[in-house]
Amino acid sequence: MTGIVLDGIGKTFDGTRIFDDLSLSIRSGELIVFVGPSGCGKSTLLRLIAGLETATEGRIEIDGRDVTQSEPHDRGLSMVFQSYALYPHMTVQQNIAFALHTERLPRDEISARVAEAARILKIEPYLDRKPKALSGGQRQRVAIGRAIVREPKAFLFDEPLSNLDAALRADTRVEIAELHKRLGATMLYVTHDQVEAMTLADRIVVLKAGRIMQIGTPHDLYTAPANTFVAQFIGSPRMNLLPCEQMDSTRIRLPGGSIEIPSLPCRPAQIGIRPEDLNLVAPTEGRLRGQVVLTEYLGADRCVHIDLGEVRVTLRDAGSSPKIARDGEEVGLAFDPRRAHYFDAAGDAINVISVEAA
Amino acid sequence: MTRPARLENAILTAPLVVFLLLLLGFPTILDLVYAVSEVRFETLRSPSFAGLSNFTAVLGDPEFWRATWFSLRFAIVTALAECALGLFLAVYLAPLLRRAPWLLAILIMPMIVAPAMMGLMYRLVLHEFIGPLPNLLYAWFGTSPGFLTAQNVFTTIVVIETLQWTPFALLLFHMAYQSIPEDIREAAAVDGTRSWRLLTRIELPLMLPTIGVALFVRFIDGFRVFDNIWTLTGTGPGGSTTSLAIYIYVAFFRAGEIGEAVAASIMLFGAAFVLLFAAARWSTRGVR
Repeated sequence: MTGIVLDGIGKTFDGTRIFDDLSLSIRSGELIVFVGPSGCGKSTLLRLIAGLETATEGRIEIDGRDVTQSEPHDRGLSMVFQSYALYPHMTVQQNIAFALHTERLPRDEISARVAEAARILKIEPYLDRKPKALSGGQRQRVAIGRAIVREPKAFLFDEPLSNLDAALRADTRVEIAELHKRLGATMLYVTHDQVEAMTLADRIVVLKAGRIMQIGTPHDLYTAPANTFVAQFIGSPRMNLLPCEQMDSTRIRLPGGSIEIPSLPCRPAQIGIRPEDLNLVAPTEGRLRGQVVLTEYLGADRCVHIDLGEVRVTLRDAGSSPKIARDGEEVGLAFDPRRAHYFDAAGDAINVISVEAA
Repeated sequence: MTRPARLENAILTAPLVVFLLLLLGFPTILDLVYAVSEVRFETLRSPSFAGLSNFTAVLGDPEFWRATWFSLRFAIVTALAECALGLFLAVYLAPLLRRAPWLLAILIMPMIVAPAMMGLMYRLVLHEFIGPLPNLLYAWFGTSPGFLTAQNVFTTIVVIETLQWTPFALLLFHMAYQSIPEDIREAAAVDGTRSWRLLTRIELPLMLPTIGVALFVRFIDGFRVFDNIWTLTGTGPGGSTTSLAIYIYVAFFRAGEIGEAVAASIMLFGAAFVLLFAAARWSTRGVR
């Protein structure tokens, strides 16, 4: 079982600063997901831990050992690449066994471990095939098999599901989660897909432009985002952000209406409401008033897009909701201010001690 | 195959066939006629049929076998030396070439020198009386190995050929080495693979098709060697540098044994064809 510590990591690439004083502590046995838009540095962070890139400043510790200057082959990790990176001239069997032969394990042990990995990943029928005779999903399993046979200190996954189609991606996601439960190993997982992050992670690290925006459990990130970036990145459809203006000590004005909020430590500049926290009501009721633009029916859910004058918000409710929202119709929107999120002008969350319903 | 597809193939290959016929058809027919004829320069237009006597004469000539053995030995030794050296340079210089790709242009410069000029150049450089290299060796060590003596001449021309054509192998291997996806190397590195094992178990096997092609091309080129040896030593002391091409040339132009020269060239062509066919079979099997 392995903990990984990053301490004051800085990285400069051709004069471009990617990380500046980034610190992070990963607990043993944890599945931690690095998520963020492309270019946020999440893959670079993984490659720094793997040793494929060298940090300009700072320390990396694996299992209490300083590995900042160690070569990748000395770090005892396994990595699954987005491109799978299988050895094209070897069969599946040879691909999986390669690292074990490198370690000079006894032959019986190698074949036992390969057989076990093949059984877990259900790739036994393809053991004698070359990678190019496999489908994307099968290659993905071989890449995972190659990682698990080594019994590494930690697993690194670099967007492993990006090249799979949607159905296979969902299945493989579940299998990776099961694998994590079964092995109890430390896993670091990079993705740009917030659904993967939410479903897999023990903790999520949200990155933007090389900076950690928030670290927390999926539940923390969803219910208490630290800033507007995390608020809008996690959750689909995105959280609605409405600019607001303090009218007097207890009321704030929103596009399409106003609400009463008694005690906030400072003045909010934006208020965030999750689509599922908005309710459709009659135009005369509710806190906000707007016009329906479009309804997307998704079966279990539906998303209603509503114009509030200068901003547009999304509302999500049950697909079976009896309230019909015709395009162009005037509607009212109700929500509970206690379930709303308040942000200051810089976009950071305002810690709401007690917000009473108006 | 369906009829339209066959028609398509015929149309697509027609220009090539016409081109080959124009280029090779007439000389080939002429060769075949001369090979079975008694012909000299005076009777070029009226050859008289001589059966297979040219072939038996060539096969019975020890000089022919000596020349064949020379070409074979020269081709194998130079192909192996060039590929081994080229492979070493491609791998060893890879980090340098990645940072400064223009260095490759300098490294392949020997390839742009005409082989005949190369032979002439070394004829001057290595000349026992006027050549700068033997003179320097005499001045410094009081002795010189005698580069062009019957004893050393084979080694000398092998070295000259290797110096000129190693860059060709280097170029091929450099391309093959660079085209190995970086993530495969990275996957191996994270998997605990050190650089020697990476080279022998992953990089070299992935370069194997290129190594096969390079060996084959250099073997063919070495086997048909003519110009640099001809300008350097001619047939060499005691005929010691008579390659098969030089043998045919001498038989044709010096001795005027046109029929025998052409018969030898046809046998050379036959051998090359068999070799090419075998290589093609081998390489397609390797792909599967």
